[in-house]
Amino acid sequence: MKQQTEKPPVVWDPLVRLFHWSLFFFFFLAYLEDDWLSLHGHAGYTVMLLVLFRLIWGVIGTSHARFADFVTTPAVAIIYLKQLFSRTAERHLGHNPAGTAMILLLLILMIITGFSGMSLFALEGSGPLANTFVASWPGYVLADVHEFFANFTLIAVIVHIVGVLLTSLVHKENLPGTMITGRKRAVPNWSNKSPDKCPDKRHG
Amino acid sequence: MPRQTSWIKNLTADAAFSAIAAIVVLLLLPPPSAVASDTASAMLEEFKLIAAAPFSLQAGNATWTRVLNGRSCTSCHTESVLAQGSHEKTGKVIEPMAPSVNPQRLTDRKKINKWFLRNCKWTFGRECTAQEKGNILFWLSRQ
Amino acid sequence: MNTDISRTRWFIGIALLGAVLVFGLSGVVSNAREGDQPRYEQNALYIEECGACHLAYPPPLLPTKTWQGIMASLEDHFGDNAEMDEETTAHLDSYHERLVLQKGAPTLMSQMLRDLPDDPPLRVTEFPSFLRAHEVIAQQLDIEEFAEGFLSPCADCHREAADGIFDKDRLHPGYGPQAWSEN
Repeated sequence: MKQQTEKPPVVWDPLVRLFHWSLFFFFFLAYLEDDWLSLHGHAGYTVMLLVLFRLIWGVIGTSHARFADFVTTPAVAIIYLKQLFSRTAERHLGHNPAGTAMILLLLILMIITGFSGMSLFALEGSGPLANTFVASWPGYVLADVHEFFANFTLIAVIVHIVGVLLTSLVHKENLPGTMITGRKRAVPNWSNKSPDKCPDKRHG
Repeated sequence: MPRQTSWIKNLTADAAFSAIAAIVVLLLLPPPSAVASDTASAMLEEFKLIAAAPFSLQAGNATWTRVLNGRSCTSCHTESVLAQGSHEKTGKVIEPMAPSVNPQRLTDRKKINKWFLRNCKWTFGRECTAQEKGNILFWLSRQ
Repeated sequence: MNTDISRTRWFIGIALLGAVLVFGLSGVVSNAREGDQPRYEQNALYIEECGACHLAYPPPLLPTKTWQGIMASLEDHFGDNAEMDEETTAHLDSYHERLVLQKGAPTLMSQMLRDLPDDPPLRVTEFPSFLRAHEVIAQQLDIEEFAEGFLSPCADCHREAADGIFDKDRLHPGYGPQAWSEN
């Protein structure tokens, strides 16, 4: 059945979208204002809380937001990347395997960056980790870890943006736009009941 | 005609004479700072009670410019108290000491005592005597 | 959209994300408001007494032991005499103590006090964190060591040092990493 007269389905619910762009805003705020510590710390705490929200929403949220919908193995992600470069990659309505890998990577990196930052604050008796096991950790090491992972996250974000643009080109759609409107061009045989669960994702 | 030009001559002569008189009077008037501020005057009175000799401009200037172990008031305040000075080490700007240029000077008793304490000790290795302070204050208040 | 979730779940999601965003945005706003304010409580007497010859170093840069060491040696304050009367000393001691107790969120100033030995130096410019932070200058100028007192006038580069603001992106134009990378 053709859906040409119907609006494209909404794949990303409003909370996922709001989360995504808020994370973008607060991460860059923290990254750019790294000397203005009261603002920096506040932005960092917000990033951690946003990540926490996403983890919860990944369990109780709408279908494409749930981790069960898209989390897959690294092997599948690598196969997908190869397909992307040979332009044979299949379109996914939800997160594709490469996107999945990036999401997990970003979440992990932000958690490490945020946690090391919170530990640094804790060394000065500030924040929720103050007076905990963290207090005896060496400041220099923590500072280097924090800086390294912040930069690593930034690189991942850049790769993420490149990946999104690449996938947009290959599939001829405006993916960043879909993260604003939430709507994505339907895949063939899309239905409300079983969105895009192709049994074998390696074939078209 | 002699009659008509003579009043012009008189007027000119009068004007010239008045101008000269005014200039002479002005030159004779003491400069504003020669009248020491109330604070300075009061302190001078107190120093006078302890000091041995009357205060003199010459003695004040001499103490101010005296060099001991490479240190002098002029090290920071420079050769002229009318000029801006600067801290010898930090380079921080020090406003002129002369009240004629900087009317704030010598109006705060606490400040005067504080800097006498600190700077005499730095310059001469000891506190200044009442005589020395009186001489300096006497001289400085007239700059 | 596969809105196959219950109202309750929506409610929870909205409440959570909403709370996080309120937290985040309110913090941004309140920080922005204080953006140009001094980052510590200032005291006119301190600035008068301790800023007459050099920048009145923000007290948060001075750990208690350093403060006490300096106050105990005012007669020979790095070669100068900076004596004060008892009343002034008492005032300033209590001011410093109050700041120490008050300490709030970390700042670049409090970071300077990290990893200090039990017997800290009297000069901030000799603190380990300070040296680490300013290593990059020696590299940039291609020198082995700094001349004595070279880094002491903070305000020569950190134009808002008197307000306790030492952000790298708020230096005098022409100084610091941003300027160097442009050259």
